[in-house]
Amino acid sequence: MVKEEKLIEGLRGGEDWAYREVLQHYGPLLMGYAKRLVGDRDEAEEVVQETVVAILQHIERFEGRCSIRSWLFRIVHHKAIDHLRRTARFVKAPEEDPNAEAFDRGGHWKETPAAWGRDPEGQAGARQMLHKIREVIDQLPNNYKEMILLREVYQMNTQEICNVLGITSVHARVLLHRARQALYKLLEETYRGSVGSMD
Amino acid sequence: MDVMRCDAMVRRIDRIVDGEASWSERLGFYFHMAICWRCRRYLRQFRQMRLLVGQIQEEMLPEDFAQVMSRALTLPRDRAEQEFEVDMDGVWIGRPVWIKKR
Repeated sequence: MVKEEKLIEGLRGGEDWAYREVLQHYGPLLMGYAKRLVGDRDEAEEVVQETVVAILQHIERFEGRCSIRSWLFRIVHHKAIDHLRRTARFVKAPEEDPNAEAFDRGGHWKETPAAWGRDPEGQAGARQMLHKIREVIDQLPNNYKEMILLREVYQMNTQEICNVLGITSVHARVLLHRARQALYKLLEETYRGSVGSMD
Repeated sequence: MDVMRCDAMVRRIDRIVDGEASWSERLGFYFHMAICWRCRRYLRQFRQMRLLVGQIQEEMLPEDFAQVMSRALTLPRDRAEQEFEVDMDGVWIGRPVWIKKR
């Protein structure tokens, strides 16, 4: 991977090698993110194409205040959300804590958290759970899904997430908490009643 | 030291797993863990969930993505339109792009 400054210089100069480098190094990441957001591979390819075009059109505007990775994710994110809005598929989570009803007045669990299986750390258990997690992520509202992907899959820190989504760190922390709780809750719903207790 | 409640444990779980909690927060959190098996289960499964989400693999771009994009971006508009309509059947490229290099 070439140095970021050299890569930006190459992109600004319209050099073939520079955007090939971008596609080679960041393409699969961008494709994965777009695919998870729009839910369809062909549409995700379209989003990535639009992103590549936007890079070439707007590279002059890149001021280097964030990493090129954050900048690329920001573009692909906007393109994907535009795409979802155009096709009326953008779903935003309600402004409430997914765990609002989980506790009694004394702050104790109303219901014991369901166990996720007897051998969740074994290979078969983990494979099965990974499959469930993919399905459940796809069911999340878009603003939760993007938080889970950026933090847990692409391992971005709070500052990078703020750069991608254009939100404050306080907002990012609230969204991340709610997104993780919503993901846990959906996973639990798939397990509750279907698997025996571990304890 | 106040004994943390289960709802407070869940509210603080992000700060704990992200390594942002203070020493006293961690102490209260793990003290609660020692006495609450429900929260221990929750924490164990929460960590497991994060671990597995981190294993979701990236989608790969089609092998010819770079070449096709390269051609699309460098060809003059009329030629690109002609070539991509004929060669790609207007399907793969989605919408033709005619951005010429500066």
